[in-house]
Amino acid sequence: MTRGAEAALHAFVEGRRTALFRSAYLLCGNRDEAEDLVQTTLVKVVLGARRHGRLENLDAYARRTLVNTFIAARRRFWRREQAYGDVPDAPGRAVDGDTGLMVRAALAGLAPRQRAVLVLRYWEDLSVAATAELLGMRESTVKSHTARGLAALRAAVQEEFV
Amino acid sequence: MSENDMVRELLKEAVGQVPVPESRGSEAVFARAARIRWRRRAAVTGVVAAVVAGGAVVGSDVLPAGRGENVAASPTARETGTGAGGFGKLLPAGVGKVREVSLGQLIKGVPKAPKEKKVGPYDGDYAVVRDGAVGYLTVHVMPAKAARAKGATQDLCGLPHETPRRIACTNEKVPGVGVLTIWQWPASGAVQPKYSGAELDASLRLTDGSVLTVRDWTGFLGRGSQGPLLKSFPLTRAQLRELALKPQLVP
Repeated sequence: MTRGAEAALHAFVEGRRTALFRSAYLLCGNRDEAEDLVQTTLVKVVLGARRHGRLENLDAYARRTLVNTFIAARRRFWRREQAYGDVPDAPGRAVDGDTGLMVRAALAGLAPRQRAVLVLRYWEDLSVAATAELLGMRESTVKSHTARGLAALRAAVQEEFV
Repeated sequence: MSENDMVRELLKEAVGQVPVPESRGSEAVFARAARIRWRRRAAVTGVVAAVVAGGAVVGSDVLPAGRGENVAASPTARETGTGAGGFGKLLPAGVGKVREVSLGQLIKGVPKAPKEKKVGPYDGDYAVVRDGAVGYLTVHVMPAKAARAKGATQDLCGLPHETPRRIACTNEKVPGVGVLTIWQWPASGAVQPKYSGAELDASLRLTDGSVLTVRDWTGFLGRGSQGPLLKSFPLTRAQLRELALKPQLVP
């Protein structure tokens, strides 16, 4: 890898860390885990970029790696997550400070793939087709995951969202 | 406000309250990547198909006079004094049975792992069988040019923000030889191998710029595992130090 490419790789790692952290946090809902997830993702990106000697579309590569790493980690039986709190059946009107909490709780109640779909579709702003391609699933599956995810969000923050 | 905007706003609320961790700099990422590459390289080093096929098992404890009968199974060992037979002679008595293996083949399941050019006479992977458990020793010499390019010449104890952290990392200046760094890495769970036992590592940065690394590993579980993990390192820290300073390991 040339020095220029190496410098670009360093710049990418520095520049994308925060954005990746936010996506990772939405995926896993835990700050420490998100930090680890980002670190693992960036290491994989560095290894992959060096192995293939290519730097095009690192962004998409990092996004795909992040989501796949998250899903793979959740697949391991000892990491199968537990809900960390009950979402109230009928929440009162959410004040600003609580909205984030409720959204996070709603996301935590979703399956990892459903959560990944919501994050990719609405946070990363990917189309249905791009999300399906990235996650290796059919577009119809993406749509159904989206619908379920949105329903969960609606239930969590009823008054704000309806 | 469209539905997309509303959902995005909600997600922004969810993520907005969480402070972004202070950047640990790209160095930590590159250091970890370098370590993984080092491990992968170590895993494919020392592929000697004939020895693997022959399964030249040699007990270092039965080699005080260099007459281990099983060495005969490995022509390489007899002719050149290298291979498991020769390596076994460098180890202290009581370490266990030593067999040259290919971690690349065992862990990655590659039927014919690519041969990496040996630099040191004993470069390779060695299984150490003791009390029914299996650990591994890996020896690898990196020429000066490669060591510089791969950042192996820097102070390994001083790398910032590594995860996991090197445990008990020490640097020792050995007069006329170089700088010897020894550290420990904790056991970790991964995909393949499924479980990687704790390891001691020694890196000797020689005055000519080349780097000798010796990995002292309690073993792994999962595909390709040869048995349970050793309860202790194949070599103690003192024994590892002694081995790493043996001039026979470098060309």
